[in-house]
Amino acid sequence: MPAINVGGIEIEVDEDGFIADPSKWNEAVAKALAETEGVTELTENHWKVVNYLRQYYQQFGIAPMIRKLCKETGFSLKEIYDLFPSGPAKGACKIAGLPKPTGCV
Amino acid sequence: MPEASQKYTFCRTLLNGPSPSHVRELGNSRYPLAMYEQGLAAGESAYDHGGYINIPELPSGVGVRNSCRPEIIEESAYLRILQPAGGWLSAGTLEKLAACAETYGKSLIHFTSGGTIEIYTTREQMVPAVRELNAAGLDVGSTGNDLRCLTACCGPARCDAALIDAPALATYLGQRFIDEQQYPGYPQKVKSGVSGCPNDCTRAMMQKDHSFIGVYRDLPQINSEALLAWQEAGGDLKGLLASCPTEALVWTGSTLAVDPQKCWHCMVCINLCPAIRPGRERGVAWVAGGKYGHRGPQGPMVGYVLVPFIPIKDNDYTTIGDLFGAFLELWADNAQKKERVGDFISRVGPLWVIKELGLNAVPQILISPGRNGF
Repeated sequence: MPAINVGGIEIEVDEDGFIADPSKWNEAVAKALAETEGVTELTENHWKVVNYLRQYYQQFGIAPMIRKLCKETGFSLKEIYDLFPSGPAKGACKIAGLPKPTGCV
Repeated sequence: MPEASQKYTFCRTLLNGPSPSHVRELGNSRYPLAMYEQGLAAGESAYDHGGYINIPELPSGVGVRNSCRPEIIEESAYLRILQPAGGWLSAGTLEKLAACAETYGKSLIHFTSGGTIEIYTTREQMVPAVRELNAAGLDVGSTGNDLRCLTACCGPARCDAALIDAPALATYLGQRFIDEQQYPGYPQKVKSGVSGCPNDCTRAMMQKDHSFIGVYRDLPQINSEALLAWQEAGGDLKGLLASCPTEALVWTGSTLAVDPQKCWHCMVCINLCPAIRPGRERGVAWVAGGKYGHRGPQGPMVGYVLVPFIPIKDNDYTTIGDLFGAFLELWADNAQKKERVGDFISRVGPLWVIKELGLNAVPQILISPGRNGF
């Protein structure tokens, strides 16, 4: 299984680069994952999306629907794409340490 | 067709005859003709079903067809370009489009049945190709669960039957909802079409989730002098009377009249006889839920007339845009995953939709279905 290196620790990821074990996620991992998705700096707005995704995932065990994500964070879908160029699923969910979403995000 | 392709027996057969040949066009481009030949020989396409691909900067307007014969071609990625409403492209724009297909693609352009334009390219070439398309005034979009490219008939720019400016309305909606066409955030795709009159040349009512049809609310206008001239020139009055689907045309022996209770404001008599012109009170009928697709509980269906007449003043389409936007929000918030608009409306009921949109339900069409719905 491929892995990314975060501060000397190997974190396993799946073939699409999603974290294999969501419990291993921390902010340093998020930064490392962000770089793989073309996000060089995680701003306050990035964290707002990432934290919401994590909170929802921890509560419900799945990623939220895309419209829910937009409504709850107050960002338009366009703004989400501006923050995460590869989109809410491949970009934001990956950085938030969620497993690869199968649904609509 | 290149020399090497002489071995393509099936493709060569399709080159015979005097009419234009798609194989000639494919063969004159860098399309891998071996894939087509493979499909013809095997009796099924050498392409596998496709999907949407993730290209940073391009949330929509990109996709791929997978290949069953990776030794011929690994995959066929494509860019989907939003076609200008009405389907016009100036020769200059077409040249720029051609240059783009030549530089980044397979030297081939596909005008799709859904009213978009596709260029087959590679994933790596997509972003630079789109930059060039943008410079030519074009843009991509209309793939996945988003608002698909708004198509329109040519309208008054080229047709005498047009009751509303169909391409202008489609352009207005296209511009107002451009983000919805380029960022896929809906439960399912939504197709929309605008037709200038009830002839509905774009077949919007049957294949689009939303159709906006130009309609007239008053009666067809009959010019008696022109009618006489038409009859003298050999016009078939009997045929004209018989053509009316509701038998609303009444001939008194000397004059022709329209029964206002029977006329349902179609275009049949108007199409047949130049002495009959559409009424002057014109607006838009909003029909929602049409689809050809066999998926979903309802299967293929014709849409529901949600609003039979929306008046248009001074080319102001704001009311239609507001209604359209409100419906899209309502549908997206309440639809099940992958539920098309038609299946959604039939599940929740058109009355519920009308109420949620704050419109007045006027049920006379249900009480007396044969009567004038306006």
